[in-house]
Amino acid sequence: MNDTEKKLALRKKSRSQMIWRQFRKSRTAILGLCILTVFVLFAVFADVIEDFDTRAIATNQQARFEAPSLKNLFTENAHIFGTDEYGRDVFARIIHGARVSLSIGILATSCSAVIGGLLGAVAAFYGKKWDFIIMRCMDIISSIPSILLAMAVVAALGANLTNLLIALSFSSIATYARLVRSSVVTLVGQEFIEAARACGASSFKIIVKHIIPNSLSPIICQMAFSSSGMILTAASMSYLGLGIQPPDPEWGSMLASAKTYIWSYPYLITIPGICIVLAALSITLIGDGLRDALDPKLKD
Amino acid sequence: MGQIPLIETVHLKKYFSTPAGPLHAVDDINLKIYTGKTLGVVGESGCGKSTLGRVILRLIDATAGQVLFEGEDILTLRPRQAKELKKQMQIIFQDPYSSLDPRLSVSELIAEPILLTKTLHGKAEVNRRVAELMDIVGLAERLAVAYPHELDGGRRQRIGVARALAVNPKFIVCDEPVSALDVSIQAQILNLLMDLQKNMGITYMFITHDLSVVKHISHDIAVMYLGQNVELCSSDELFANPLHPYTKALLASIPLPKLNRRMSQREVIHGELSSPISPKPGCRFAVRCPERRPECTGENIPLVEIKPGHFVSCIQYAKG
Amino acid sequence: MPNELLKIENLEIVYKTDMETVHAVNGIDLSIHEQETLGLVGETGAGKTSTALAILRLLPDRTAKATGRILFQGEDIAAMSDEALRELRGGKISMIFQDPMTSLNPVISVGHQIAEALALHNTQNKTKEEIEARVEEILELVGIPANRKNDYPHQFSGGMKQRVVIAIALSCNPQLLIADEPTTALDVTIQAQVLAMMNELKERLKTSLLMITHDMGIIAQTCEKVGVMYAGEIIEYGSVEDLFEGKQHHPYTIGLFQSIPDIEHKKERLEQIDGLMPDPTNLPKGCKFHPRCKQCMPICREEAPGVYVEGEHRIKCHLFGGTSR
Repeated sequence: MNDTEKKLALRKKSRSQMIWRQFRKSRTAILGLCILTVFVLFAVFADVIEDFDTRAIATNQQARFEAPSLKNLFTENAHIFGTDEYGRDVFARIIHGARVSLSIGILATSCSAVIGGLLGAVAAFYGKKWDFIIMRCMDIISSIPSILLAMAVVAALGANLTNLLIALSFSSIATYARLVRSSVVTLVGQEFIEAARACGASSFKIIVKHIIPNSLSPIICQMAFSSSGMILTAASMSYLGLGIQPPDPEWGSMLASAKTYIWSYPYLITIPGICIVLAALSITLIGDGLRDALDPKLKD
Repeated sequence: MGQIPLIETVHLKKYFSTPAGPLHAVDDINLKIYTGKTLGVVGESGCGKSTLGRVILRLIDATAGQVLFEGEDILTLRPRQAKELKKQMQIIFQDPYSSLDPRLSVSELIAEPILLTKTLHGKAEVNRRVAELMDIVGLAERLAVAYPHELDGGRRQRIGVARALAVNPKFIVCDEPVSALDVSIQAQILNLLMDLQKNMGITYMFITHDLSVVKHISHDIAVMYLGQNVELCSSDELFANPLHPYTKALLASIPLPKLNRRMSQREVIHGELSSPISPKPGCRFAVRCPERRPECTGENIPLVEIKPGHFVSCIQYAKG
Repeated sequence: MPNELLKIENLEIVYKTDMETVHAVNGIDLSIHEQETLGLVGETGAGKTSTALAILRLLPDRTAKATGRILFQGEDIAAMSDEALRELRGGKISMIFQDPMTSLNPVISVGHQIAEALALHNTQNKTKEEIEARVEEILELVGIPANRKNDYPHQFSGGMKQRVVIAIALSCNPQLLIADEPTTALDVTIQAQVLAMMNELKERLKTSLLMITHDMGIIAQTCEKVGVMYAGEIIEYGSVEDLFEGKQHHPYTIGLFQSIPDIEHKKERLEQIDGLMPDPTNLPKGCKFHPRCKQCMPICREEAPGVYVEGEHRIKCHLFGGTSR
């Protein structure tokens, strides 16, 4: 019992601090968080670090295919990641591309989580007819391969950032609807929900106080995992020419344009490739850490 | 007894509809529970004892019949009045693991019913009440910040008791509150419940499958079999003079911690619970009954008063 | 005196994880003779199930470590080859678990599950027909009509499923049957049926039985010898007569008896044992029961008690001035 007391003595902190304490224990999650922070910082301060128009968009025929080097660092002509076939600075394009990739990841995930989550909650809570209609629609959506579905949406609406977002969100709504529905269905059957009802709690109070907090952690984890998937899908879409249109920088489209030079200038394809992998990986690692940290039973 | 019972059920019925037909979970139950007393409800799994408790608390809607609280039918009350009434009637659940939200701390859990019913206002007042309740049920103050999974079953069940007490109810349904606990912890909780009754005059409906526990805590006992009340009398009378064959079988089935009655020498009833879906009229225990007669089936057997305060529903006693 | 079938000497089981070290079983000695029923009684976390699993070497390899000796018919279980161990499990020793709902495979018919157990230990090279005949025989033995052998577990009630589990356990005529809370999940009347059946079968098949339970009533009804476990130790051991009718007892045993509501006499209030089971990651020094003991003496806090022996009756408590460990 002494152990319990010790644990309790430490418990003067709020719950978010507890979660952070638990999260910190996972080294891989911290690594993921560090990598992501670097990306986010570069994306946020992209305009300060590299000018968009002159460095990332404007062509410069004199400086084509310059190899990555640390020469001229801190000057106008620094090209630490080299330059591409139009003489644009790859580093500038990467950090401006990070803005697009990360915001697609975050926005598309949030949209699909909110819409899918609402649909799933409605299906679980009202049951019967609603449940049937909503879940069959979700079955239809999820029976089409997500990239195909996204391509169809973009093809119908035209290729730009907004439509890409719509396409990506739409194709993963079904995942969230199913996830939320199943966790709400199990929660509604739990005795503590009945206990709350016995105390006189209304349905609204039960949803806000018991159901949402208890179903949040699987949703947060799913969001972390799927936002890395979103970044990958967005990159594939751009690679296929259905996402961000040139000359705007995006990691996927950078890959697409670099594929011609894969043998002669391999850095052009490896750098955005590594960025995609690192971004996706870091978010997945964070998701892993969050899953453990959010489970109160694992708290120590 | 001239006084009005605190709780009275009148021809209370609850049928669940299933694809195979109506499931008679609670079938025509008439009970009276008096202030400050404990009514034990005993039966095996599936006899409808938990459903009965929930119907009385309006957690499940009744199919037919009345539940009278101090003489007033509560099943016909409007939602707002019903909410007022919920303060008077509380429940303690069987499983102290699943009946507590794992994301709330002990103090939040105990404060929940107070905040929901708005009996107290202001953080300081609620906190004071929570501390007081923790003291009453014997939870150390330092546990206020603990989470349910950090505590053992006995302490969790104490939280359950504190939650039920939080709004000063007159009546508590205890749904198998000790069956998930070890014997030494079970004794602690039973003593706590009995102390509370003595000090606060709370009325209990104690649902259990354990006859020795129910004997210990109850004043009156109702034995249920497949949704029906087959025997009802005072606790002492039931154990001294059981009349219904099912009651006798239940009593004979308990493995006693005594050497003088070893299992093999005792009579064991055969067969298992039949289905409560669309039951045929007549005694539902007849298929397993060692004293079965042809008249047992065909016609429903009423619960009759054999002697003052002792009711039984069995053909042997029905017609003299 | 019948032969000794199983002998456990100074068994200790420790579960080690990254976070903590759990001392589940702390040096127990016991033996089971042929055709004898030994009951192990204790509350949650007393180490009963760990002991049973150790006998079959079923403890999780990675986290659990068992020391001490377990001899079955004089042979050390720890030294057995994998093949001998397979022979032992389900062949010479079978185990029945608490929950009949989860110990049967839901997609295989019960007859097939029994046949499978038989085929695994088919030392006499029985033919398929002989095995089928044996399945029917076994089902009848546990009170299930043989024509239900093609039914699936979900078609049986809880009590019937537990009968099937027992049938599987008994199918190979084991010398020792370990029953871990076999009736806890069942209703009283069904529990009485299953216990009566187990008592009868044990007599008929001349099997030894290790009955693990938390219910003193079940011990009184089925066992000849009893070990009372607390915090991984057997604190009292003896025949049922010693335990239920003897004069001297360990304070914990007395507390356990007083905690059970007596059905024959009405008491105003139960005598309770205050406090909780000790934390197995941080066991108290000296006697492990001392923090809850009403008769605790200064020595109890310091020194682990020795064993007081009177005939077969052994009590591990300072009150009786035990002689040796």
